Amino acid sequence: MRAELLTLALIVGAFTWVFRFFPIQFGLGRKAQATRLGAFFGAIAPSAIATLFIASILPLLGHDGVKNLPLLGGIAGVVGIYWWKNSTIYATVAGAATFGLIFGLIDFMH
Amino acid sequence: MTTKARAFLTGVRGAVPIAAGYVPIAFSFGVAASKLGLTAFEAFMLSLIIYAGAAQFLTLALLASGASLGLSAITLITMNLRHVLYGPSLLGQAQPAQKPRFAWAWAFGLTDEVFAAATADLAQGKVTFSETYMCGLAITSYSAWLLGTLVGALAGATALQFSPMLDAALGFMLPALFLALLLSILQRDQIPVIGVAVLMTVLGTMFASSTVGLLAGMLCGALFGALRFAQKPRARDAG
Repeated sequence: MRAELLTLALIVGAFTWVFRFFPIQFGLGRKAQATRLGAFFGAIAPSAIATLFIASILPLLGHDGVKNLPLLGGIAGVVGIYWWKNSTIYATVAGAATFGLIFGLIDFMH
Repeated sequence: MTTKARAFLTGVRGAVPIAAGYVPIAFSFGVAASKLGLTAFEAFMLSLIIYAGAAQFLTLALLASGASLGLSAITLITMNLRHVLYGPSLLGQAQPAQKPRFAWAWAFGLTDEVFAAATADLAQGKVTFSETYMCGLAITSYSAWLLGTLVGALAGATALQFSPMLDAALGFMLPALFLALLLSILQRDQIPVIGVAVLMTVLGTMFASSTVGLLAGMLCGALFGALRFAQKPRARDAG
């Protein structure tokens, strides 16, 4: 393995571990319970998941309406199956399958 | 079966949707690394050491652009800064008597998806927080990521060319997972927090970069939640 690539991986990996572990080690969330800081940490979960979802679909958005159909279909697939089955697994797979099918259909028609 | 074994298996089961998303995404990473000329061993080592999907894809982009080691490291470290928020958020849901003794191990696996899945399980009351549960969740997800990377890197650069439809479907796995997880924790009083997070993500991404968008969305959403917490007692007093 190239030394430069290994060095980069080790630096980034070490910092990522520190970011994930140290706040737990110092009990940051626990000390903050029932305070405004506690509310801040409590609100991280919904805002983080919403942020990750939006950040992951932004690169898929296009100016051409037809190109957005797979994305709209994929979102509808997730919401529909989650509403019907109340299952994260089924909803995820159904959303990805719908996205792929509509993408394939548009690709075939063009 | 002991309580610990049950908690571990609950974590493993909770990781199934993550693994279903991780294997194809990591496969794509392995293929992309192979396209860039990395060996299967190098691609596998990146997943083994860094274990952060978006950062790994960005690593490939930085390598392709010829960026220096220092610039690449700073960019990737900044990108992963958001992970600072995950541990405290999870720990806030643990019993006060619980002292994390093995967080040094399971925290390594506290990725975006593991955090989101654990939060959803805890919010729905499917589990109570325990380190054994977190280990089950983290180890299964990590294994899926490593397996996907290895298979993708061994399959080589042309692996997904035969089916653009499959390639597209695999690419939508993680957005679909995030949306499903968001639906699973959704409560009416969280909608304003989510609205602020969405707005700030879009604005941050449009006017700065995707990394700024990620941090702005998470931090502004959480800050808005803290501000609403501060205003609630006053509203009750007024009522």
